[in-house]
Parts: sequence; C-alpha cells; structure tokens
Amino acid sequence: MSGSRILAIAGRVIRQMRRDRRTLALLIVVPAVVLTLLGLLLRYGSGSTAVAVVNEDHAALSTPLGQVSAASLLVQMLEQSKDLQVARLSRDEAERQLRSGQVKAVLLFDQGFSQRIAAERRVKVDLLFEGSNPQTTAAVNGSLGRALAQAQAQMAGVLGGADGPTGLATLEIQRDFLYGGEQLDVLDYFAPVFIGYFAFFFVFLLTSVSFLRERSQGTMERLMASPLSRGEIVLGYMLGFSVFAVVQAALILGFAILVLRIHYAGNLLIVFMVQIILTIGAVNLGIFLSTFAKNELQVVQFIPVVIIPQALLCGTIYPLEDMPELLRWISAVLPLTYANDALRAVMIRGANIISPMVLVDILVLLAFAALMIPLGALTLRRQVA
Amino acid sequence: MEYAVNASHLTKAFGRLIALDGLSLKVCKGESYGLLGPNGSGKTTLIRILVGILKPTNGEVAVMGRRMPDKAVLHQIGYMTQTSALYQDLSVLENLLFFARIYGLTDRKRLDEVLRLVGLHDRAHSVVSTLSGGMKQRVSLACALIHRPQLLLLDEPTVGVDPQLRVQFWHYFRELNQQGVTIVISSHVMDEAERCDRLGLLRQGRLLAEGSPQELRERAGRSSLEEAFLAFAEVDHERV
Repeated sequence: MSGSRILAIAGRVIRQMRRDRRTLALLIVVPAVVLTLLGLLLRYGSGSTAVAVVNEDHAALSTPLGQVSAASLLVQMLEQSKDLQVARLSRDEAERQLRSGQVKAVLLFDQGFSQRIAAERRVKVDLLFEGSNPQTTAAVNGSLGRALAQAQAQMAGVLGGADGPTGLATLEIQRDFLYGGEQLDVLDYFAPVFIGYFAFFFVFLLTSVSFLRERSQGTMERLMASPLSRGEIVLGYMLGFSVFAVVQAALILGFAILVLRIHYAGNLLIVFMVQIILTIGAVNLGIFLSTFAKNELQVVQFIPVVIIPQALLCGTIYPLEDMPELLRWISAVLPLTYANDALRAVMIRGANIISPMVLVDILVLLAFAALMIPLGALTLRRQVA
Repeated sequence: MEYAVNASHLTKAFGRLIALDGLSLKVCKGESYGLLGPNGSGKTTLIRILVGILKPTNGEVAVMGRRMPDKAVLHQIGYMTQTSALYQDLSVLENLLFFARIYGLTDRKRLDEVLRLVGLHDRAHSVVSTLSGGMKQRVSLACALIHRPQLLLLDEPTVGVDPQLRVQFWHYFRELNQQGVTIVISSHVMDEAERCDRLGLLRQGRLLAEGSPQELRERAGRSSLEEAFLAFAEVDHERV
C-alpha cells in the first residue's frame, strides 16, 4: 500500500470529474430541482377537493325560525369544511361536471329530504363518486362523512338541541360510483399510466443509446454515405422500436389484466394506439437528445432531466388536479400528461376514441410526435459532422 | 474524357481552421489514386466531401459526372473508414445483409461472393465483436463492396492492419481496378503509396505535387517517396 499511489488515483478521478462540467452540474442541479418539485407538490398541493351539492329539498321543517329546509342547513354547514370546495349545482350540471372530472363527488338531497326527517327521523342521502381515483374517493368519503356528522350536530344545536326535529335523525349515506366502483383500488389507478410510462422511458433510452452507438462505431457515417435519406433512417428507427413498445404494452397489459386482475373498462385497441403514438414521439426525442450526448453516461444523465419530471408532474404518481397552479403549467407541455390522461380515461372510465377528452389527448400526442420527427431528422446531420 | 472525380478549388473551413485550401483534383476512371499526407493534412475532409457527407465552404465536386452532393451517385460509391464501422452485436452475414438491403440488393449470391473475396465465408455467422481487428477490417471492406461500386473511397483502410493482410487488400484493389473500378485511397504509409497508379501529396489542405510514384521521386531527385515528400514540403514551405 502506498499513500501517494492511492492519492494519485483519487486526484485523477477528481481532475476528470472537474473536466466533465455536465456531470458536475447534474450532481448539484438535479437534487435541487427534484426536491423543489417534491416540496411544491407535497406542501403546496391543493388540500381541498371539489364536490357538488344538488339541493332539491322543499322547505318542510317547522322550527323556531320558521319553515326551513334541512338540506339547506346541511349545505351551509358543509361549506365551512376546510377539506371541501362545495359548489351548489343543478342536477344536470352536477352530473356534467362529475363526468368531466371537475367535481369528484355529488351529494344529492332530493325533494322529500326535510319531510322524511320530520316523519321518519331517518333519511337517505345519495352520494355519487366520480370514482376513477380510489385515493380521491377515499379522501372525499372521509371528509364528507366527517363534515356531514359535524353539520348534523351543529344543525341539531341551531334547531333547538337534541330534542329538535333533526337531532335524532339518522343520515344513511347511499354511495354510488360513476366509474370504477368500490372494488377499484390504488393498483387499478396506477396500472394504466405505467403502461405508457415504461414505453416512453425504455424507448427513449434505447433509441438514445443505439443512436449514440451508431455514431461512435462509425456506422452512421456509413449510412450517410449510402443512398438512405434522413427521413428513411428516422422512420426505420420508429418502426423498429414501435414493435418493441407494442410487445411491451401487450405484456404489461396481459400481466396486469390476467395476473393482477386490474380493472379495465375501455377498448384496449385505443390503449395500443396511444402507446404507438407515444413511442413515435419518444423515438424522435431520443434521436434528438442523443446528439447532445458524447457517451452512454451522458445519455443516462438525461434520465433525471426527461424521465423524473414526467414521473412527478404528469399525473403518473401525483394527481394533476391537486398540483399547484405553476406546476400545472409545466405539466401541460409534457407529453406524458396527455398519454396518462388518455390511458386512464380508456381503462378506468371506459372512454372511447370519439369522447372529446381522449380525442384531445391523442391529438396533442400526435402533435408532439409530429414536432419531434423533423427535430430528430434535422439533428441527423450533426450526428456525423 | 470523363473523370471519376473532378473537384475544383475546394475550400473547407471549420471555424478558423482551414482544412482544405483551394484544392483541385482529377481522378481518371479505373485508376487507383493515393492521397498521401501527414495527419491533419485534409485527407479525411477531402474524402468526406467527395462522398457528400460534408459540404465544401467553396468550390465544386463532380463524382461520376454528377455534381455532389447527389444521393443518386451514392449507389455507385463504396466508402470505408479507418474504424471498421460495423454493428458489433450482429454477425458478419447480418451486417452484410443489412448494407445489401440499404442498397436495394436482393441477390444472396453476392453476399457469398464478397465473403469469399475477403476470405471470411467460414466466419459468416460469427458475431462481429468476437472477430480480430484485421477480420473486422475485411468485413468492413466487404460491406463497402457489396453493391458493386464503380468508385471506392477508402480513408486509411489499412490502419492497424498487419502487412500480410495489407498485401491481400491490395490484391483485391488491383483486381477491382482491372474491372474498371476507380479507387481513391488515403494513407500516410509510404509503401502503400508506392502501389497507387498516381499520388497526390497533401499538406495543410493543399496539393503539393501530383504524379506516379516514379515521377514524383524523379522530380524531387530523391530515391524514396518519403524523402521526395519532405523535399516537396520544403519547397512549399519556402514559397509560403
């Protein structure tokens, strides 16, 4: 053992690292960016969930304050809950907003609500969940349950103590689901987006590395000296990797459906279509970015730049609607946001291709691919020069 | 007569570096023309312009009578660099098949033919990464020949190749010349230059002198090409 020889190695490693500015920057910048994103998501994500209340109750309770609707009183109390953003809507509007995901649940007081409280002291409330995210469902269920219990207690006070008309009334919450159902669990929620995420991640990495190899082993030079056009090279790569992406999607889907028995409601062909369009974008992004990498390590460095933000910001793990406004702007320009939305819409909500949500997603993904193809082809010239 | 390569007043600048400085070059059909010069003299730049990968800053190139860059001419050009430029994880045959298909060839017999030419028909199914350096260069040559090019552009093809294999390569090149194939080969190895029909001596992006090895030696009044090159370089240096 010689100290000076060991120091020689350590010194050389440090010297080389200092020369590699990009790696150094990454060591500092990436943890800062990722921690900032996580901090923003976890600390400033919106804590309250949007729910709609449909109040069709006729005022029918005689109280010291006159004729009063029990439902109106309950709604007023619910509006004070910190966990909920309550919107009073008509039945049709509430249903429309529930379908589009603007509200996560609808609480329905029908016209006989007050009457039945007075007569039977026992009353049914309909609670309809949007249902596609089991975590949101559970959260809304908890908040609404707590808020209703509180509201009930307060109302009893307003109306004259435990002996008042509603003091002893029991609320029976009748839960129903627009999409999914009670048995929908967290895995059902995540499985659809992982299909897209894996495809994007692997296809991007594989294309970047194989293009880099094509350049470093000199075969790109040979291709450029052949009658091949740049477009042909890009299209060939796209076709080749799309095969793997489709096989991968089939495997993940097969495993998820047959072994994990996840929920799926929609047409799996649309899932494949989304997958292929996403792959085309990823292949060309890989070609484009590989021009900026000198070796395989530098390709790996794209992971924290390209892959991690998309995991955090595209609704892959953290729901989009709970994100702070600023981050939602960023997620709006990331392709995986649209793929995730389309995949969930199809697999959980059973949306088909003509439903506007899916159609918009697919169009945005197509636009992304259409933007990346010329970008990939353009950088091909730089690959050899 | 029509030239295989006719380049006039080529200039190529990379930023402030002048790689080619008003170079003109004519190569006749069916001859083997050697570009001889030290590292950094512009040999690779010139060949890459001839094959259409680089655009000259100034000047014009016609290859096989067509102005470059022209994709259509590329069918007639075989190009080989000093690195073997092969897909390392594919077999010899798979590499050849790939390049054959790029050139629109469907004839399986041609694959056999070039494999025999470079003496690798018994290694057709070996994965390239398992081959020796010399074998890889032979596969690389096979890939450059697969589409029966009329013009071969060879950028230091025998770097790192042992003398025995180099002799073998020249044996192929001669055979191709006889079939009417034009060969432009760059080298900084003198004994390789001796084998060319004509030589162009390159220095700092300019052509110092041109002629058969015999002529160049006589004009410089030296007994070896190496000394002749140095003599021409010295005259050039004084002139500048």
